[in-house]
Order: sequence, then structure tokens, then C-alpha cells
Amino acid sequence: MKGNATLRRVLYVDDEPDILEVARLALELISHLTVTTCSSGREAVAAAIAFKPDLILLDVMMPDMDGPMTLAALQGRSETATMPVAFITATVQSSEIERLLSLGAIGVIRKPFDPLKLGDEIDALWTKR
Amino acid sequence: MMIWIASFLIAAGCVAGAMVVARDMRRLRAARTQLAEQNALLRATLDNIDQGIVVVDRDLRMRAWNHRFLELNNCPAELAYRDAPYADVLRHLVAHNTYSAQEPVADIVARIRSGVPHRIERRRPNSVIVEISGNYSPDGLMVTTFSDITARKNIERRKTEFITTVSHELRTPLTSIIGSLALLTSSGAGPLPEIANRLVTIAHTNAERLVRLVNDILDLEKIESGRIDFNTERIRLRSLVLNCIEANRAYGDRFNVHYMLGSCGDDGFVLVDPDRLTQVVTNLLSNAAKFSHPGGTVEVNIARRGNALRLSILDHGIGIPPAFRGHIFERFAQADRTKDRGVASTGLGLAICREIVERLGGQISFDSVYGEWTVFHVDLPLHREGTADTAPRPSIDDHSDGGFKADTSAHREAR
Repeated sequence: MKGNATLRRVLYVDDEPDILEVARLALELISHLTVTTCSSGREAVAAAIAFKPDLILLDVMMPDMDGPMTLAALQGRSETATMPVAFITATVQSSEIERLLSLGAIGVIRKPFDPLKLGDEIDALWTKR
Repeated sequence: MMIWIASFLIAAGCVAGAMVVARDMRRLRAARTQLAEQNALLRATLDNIDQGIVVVDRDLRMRAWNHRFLELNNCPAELAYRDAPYADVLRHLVAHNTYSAQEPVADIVARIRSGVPHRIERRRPNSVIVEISGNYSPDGLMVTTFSDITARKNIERRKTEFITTVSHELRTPLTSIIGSLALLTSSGAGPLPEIANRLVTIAHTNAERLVRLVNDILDLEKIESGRIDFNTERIRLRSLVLNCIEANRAYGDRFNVHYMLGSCGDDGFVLVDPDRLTQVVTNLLSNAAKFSHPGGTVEVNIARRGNALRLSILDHGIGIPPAFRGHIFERFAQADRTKDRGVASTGLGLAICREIVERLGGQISFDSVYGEWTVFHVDLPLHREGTADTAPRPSIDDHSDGGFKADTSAHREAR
């Protein structure tokens, strides 16, 4: 299901505060998106319900509740079930990428990402979802 | 000495004479002793090596074996005797689930009778991994060795895990570093004073180099360990090369170097993983630009060579120092002049190229005149229409041009 015609609001979930800050600045300064961040999977569901993002960027390796578990939690709630989710990960193994896509993500962004292109990358994923 | 005495009888029953035959038995005894010593030596050797060995003849009768063979296969000693049917041993192995990867006895027998040397791995239920290698002597005997490679495999697995973990852990801080520096060097975070901008640019360039290094190490490790899938498809080589040239034009412009696709001769198709071959061509094109003189041209040609297509990338740059030629495909190999030119390189690019090209069934080689030019050749088997993807690749054996091929054996020893 497609929502807005343009990607405007992004929720970024990552347990690394520095990466959160860099990504937020990049998406705000370069791509002029509205960004909210949170640092754990547990916060992500509540943040998604409150913020109503067009897209959720989800780190894969997080303590306690990792990316796939967070995605499952989002998919399990009617308010967030249809929100597009893209994973962001430092993993480069193609089998792992395929596994992540099979969970229902619209794409996988690899770390380290180019902050100047991050907005375009997620916009491309969001547009063709 | 051995003496026979034969008597001659005459009709009257009297002994008329005797014939004495003497034969020198010392040589025979010496030969027997020598044979016994050799047998003992052979037996001592067979029973004291770490590999299991079994020798069977054309009729699949056991001709020789050692204790380790019985031990590694949990094979009862009574099954192994001279001329014992080897099929009985195989039946025992299959019936007693010696290997978790089972195959019917008939298939194993067919493999043995095929006369084709083979090497397979089998993991036992108890996690022991055995490598089975079958080779044939000219007189039709098959010598099979059984090696316990569990320790080696565990080391390889740990090495892979270590590299993967380290690479992942390095990427996380690098993401923050590169992201911050990229934002600073762009106008996104506002203008910087000139000196600060230069310093941030240096930091950014080197952080990117570190990322390339981590990526290359991971790449090389994955290719070498066979953990990377090659998705091969039939493609026209010229099209892929053209795309690579277009994609790399901007890179060439940085060095004021122009890429030119010259003759494509009898162009044709190859069966390759396009992404991986693109990686190879991109690497060779970027090297050619880096080591060219400003204003230079890099010539790219494709030519038919027997049953292969040869892609050649020629630059008229600084050439390769003679002393460096034997090391060019080694990891972290960089000629001193690389640093002189301020060229950013991980020193792994050509090692990765070589691994990829060999995995694609091809060969990579080069030739150079120091101070004048360098040419790299990538030879890939020509893929004719209708050729099954699974058919054995035609061999590339025509390399009589005096160029330097990637010396696999020497390289592997050096690792």
C-alpha cells in the first residue's frame, strides 16, 4: 500500500548514537527529510505509532531486540503493520541480505553508507516498494 | 649353495654314475631378504602415516591398506584381507552410517571404476570431516587416501568468523567517521575554513581507504574460502567492457587519462558472473589510469585466442619494475612507486582479480616494459551458443607470448 507520493518522514532505529546522529543530519541537511530517531527496538514500535513515518530504517544488530525482532513486532501491530521498513546493516554476506529481504523489508542499506547519497538510496527503495 | 645329486641306474640295478647339479642360492636368498625388508618397510610406512590408505585393483579387490584406513572408517579388520572384495567394505560403511552424506554403494563403485581422479569431503555423524582422494596408477590400481581434515576445517571456520566479526566491528565506527567527514567536506554542514577543509579532506580520503581495505579483505576471504556464489550468465564481453569504461570515465578524468575501446576482433560471449567480472575490469581500468601519465590513453581490446576471448588493458604509463613482477598478484603487493605517486590502493585488488578470474575458469597475466607500458590480459573461455552451463569449460592453454601468468602455486606457498 502506498501512502504519500513523496518520502518525507523517516524513523531511524540504531543502538549506535553516533551513527544515528550522522544519519539524522544527512537526511535532514542533504535530503530535507523529517527524521526521528530511537536507539532500541523496544522504543521503535511506540515511536512508529506516534511519529507515523513514511519509512522506518532499522539497524539489524541491536542488543535485546534486534532488527528482525523489531520488524516482527511492527508487523504484529495493526498501526504499524504496513509501514515500509528498510534494514541498515554492516553485514555484507549475500545470504544474510536475502534473509533480511525475505522477512518483508523493502531493501537493505549497507554500512558504511554515504551520507550524501543516503537520502537518494532510501527514496529509491521507498518509491519502488 | 644348493646341490642336487641325481643317480643313474643301469639295467642290472647298479649305480653306474651320478650327476651333480650345483646352484648358487645366495642371490635368490638375498633377493628374498631384500623383498622381505622392503615389505616390512612398506608396512611400517603405511602403518605409521596419518592418512588412511587403501589400494584396489581393476576388479575392486583389495591389494593394500593400512591400519589408519580401518580406523578412520570404523572398518572391522576381518573385512580387509588380500584380494578381499572392496565392495564389502563399502557396504559396511554405508550400512553402519560411517558418513552422514550417504550415497549408494553402486554410485561409489561407479566413481571408482570411472578412472577419474576425485576428491570429496564427508562429514561423519561425530563431526569428524574426512577428505577422500582417489588417484589411479598407470596399471589401473586405484589408490585412495583418507585424511582427517577436521582440525583444518575448524581453523578455516574460526578464521572466517574472526574476519567477518572484525570487519563488522570496524564498519560500525567507520560509518560514523566517514559519515561525519563526508558531511563536513560537503556544503551540507556549512563552510569550513580552508585549512580545516584540507585536513578534513585528508581524514575523509583515508577513512574511505580504510573502508576499501576492510571490504577487500572480506572479499578476498570470501572468494578464497568458496563462500561466495558466482551467478554466471552468458554475456557479450564487449557490452560488459563498454559499460565498465563508461562507468569509469569520471575516474579516468581525475588522472586526466582517457579510456579507449580499440579493436574487438572476433567478439563473442563468455559465461561469467557479470558483477564479479565488472569488479575485475573496473580494477584493471582504475590501475591503468592511476599508473598512466597525465594526458595518456588506456587502450582496451578484445581478441579471439583459440577457444578463449582475451581482454587486454594497455597503458603507456610508468610500467612495472622488474623486481616486482613476481609479486604483483600477491596480497598487499605494491611497488614502491605506488606510494610515490600518491595513489590510494589497498594492495589487494590484483589478488582479488586473480581469484575471481580463476573462479570464472580464466587466467590473468600481464606484460610490461618498465618506464614505458603495461598490459594486463584476462583470458576467458569462449562460450558458444548451445553450450550447457554445466559443461566442462574449455581449457586455455595458449600462453606462449612470454607474458607473466598469475603463478598460483608460488602464490599459495607465500600465504
